[in-house]
Amino acid sequence: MHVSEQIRSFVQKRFHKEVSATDSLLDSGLVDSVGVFEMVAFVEERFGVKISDDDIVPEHFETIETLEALIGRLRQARSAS
Amino acid sequence: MDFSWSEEQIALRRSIVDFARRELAAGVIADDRAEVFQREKWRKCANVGIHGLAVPEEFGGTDADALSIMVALEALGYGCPDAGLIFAINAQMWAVQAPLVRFGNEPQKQRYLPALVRGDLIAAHGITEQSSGSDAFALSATAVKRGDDYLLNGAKLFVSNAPIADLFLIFASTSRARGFMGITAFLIERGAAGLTVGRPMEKMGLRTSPMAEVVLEDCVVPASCRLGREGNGGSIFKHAMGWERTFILASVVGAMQRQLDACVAYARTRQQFGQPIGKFQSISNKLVDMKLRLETARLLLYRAGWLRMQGEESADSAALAKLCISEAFVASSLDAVQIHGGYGYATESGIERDLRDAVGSRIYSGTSEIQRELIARGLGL
Repeated sequence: MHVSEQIRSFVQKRFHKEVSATDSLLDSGLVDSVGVFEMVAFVEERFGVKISDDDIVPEHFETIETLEALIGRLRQARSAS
Repeated sequence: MDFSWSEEQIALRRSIVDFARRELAAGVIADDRAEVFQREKWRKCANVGIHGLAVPEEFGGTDADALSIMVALEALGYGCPDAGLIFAINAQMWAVQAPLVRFGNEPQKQRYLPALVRGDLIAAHGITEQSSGSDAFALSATAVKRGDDYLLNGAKLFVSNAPIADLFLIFASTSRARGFMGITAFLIERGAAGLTVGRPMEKMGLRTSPMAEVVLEDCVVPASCRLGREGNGGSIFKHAMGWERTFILASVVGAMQRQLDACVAYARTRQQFGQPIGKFQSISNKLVDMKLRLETARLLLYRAGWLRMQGEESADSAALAKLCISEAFVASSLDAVQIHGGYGYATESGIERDLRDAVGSRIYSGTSEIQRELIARGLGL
């Protein structure tokens, strides 16, 4: 399953909401302070990446699309090292 | 499983206990009564390296490992009966220094960390507001971007060190719609136009640790004073709390040991009905319970430290330690007063002060109720 689909599936199961790749996860309050860290835990475990505290910012968690971009960048960095 | 300490840690503990007994123990009852913060004692603690325990060497610290930090702080709590002073130091170490080390840019680190470690500057952390305590991210203070500056408005309550602080780490919302992800952290120096510190608040305990309200009225803060990125404030706060919950009660374990030692000594010498009161089970049972609480608290503390060193720390491990130690300290402090009877109730003994100080430990760094919530979440509830 594609990265974005896996994230969308998690959001649907955990937050009971259907979202597109570009819907804001933050403005709707969909992902709150607890939800953000559940999302982080899910991403780290599912995709084998480590999200630093510096990266827990709106531009990465705004949409599924931006989160997917973050995951891609982290995976690339992991491969390079 | 090896529970032994290294030679260095044993020497560290001994040196801190000796230092604390020699330099910090005098005058605590009077200072507590008059709510006096001893700046000189603060400097002495900085001089022996307490403030810099978790700060990298390039900024004047010693970058000690988690267990050694705990050993040092436990020793400080054992030798120094001024819990307010120790609390004030901890408030700076975990709620300001730790976030600075992790999220500060190089100019910010260079400007503040060496001075904080030396004891030349004192820092305070402001997040709690009238309507947001345990629900920290429901804060109302705002930070509106205007060109290269931010305009801050709001009021922070229960800011430890505020009356004596030179530097404030303040959390405000740059986007209310984004909730947790709309919070940003700012470093603001005392004297900044629009930042006002209220009168010191009188407290039940930790009376030598001053606390006050901080008000921001159209306080202009340059973007260069923002700590981390916009929207990163929630993570910065969580990072600070991770450190604080793990380490802030290490000194309390030392205090509980000091308390138990005093109670045992008293129970062995105080005679009633022709024998030491420690021979009566109603007293010896209390002392056993104090011992049990102390050892349990100590084990959970160092387990949290060990897990941190392995990179396996969790919200659970810190919350369990914090909950256990704080609740144990209150219970044991009550027992200590009871064992000493009328003498324990009188302020001149210093016994009752532990109880007043202990109650605060169930509130700061996340209340016992919040720690239980965190642990329950870890259980999948």
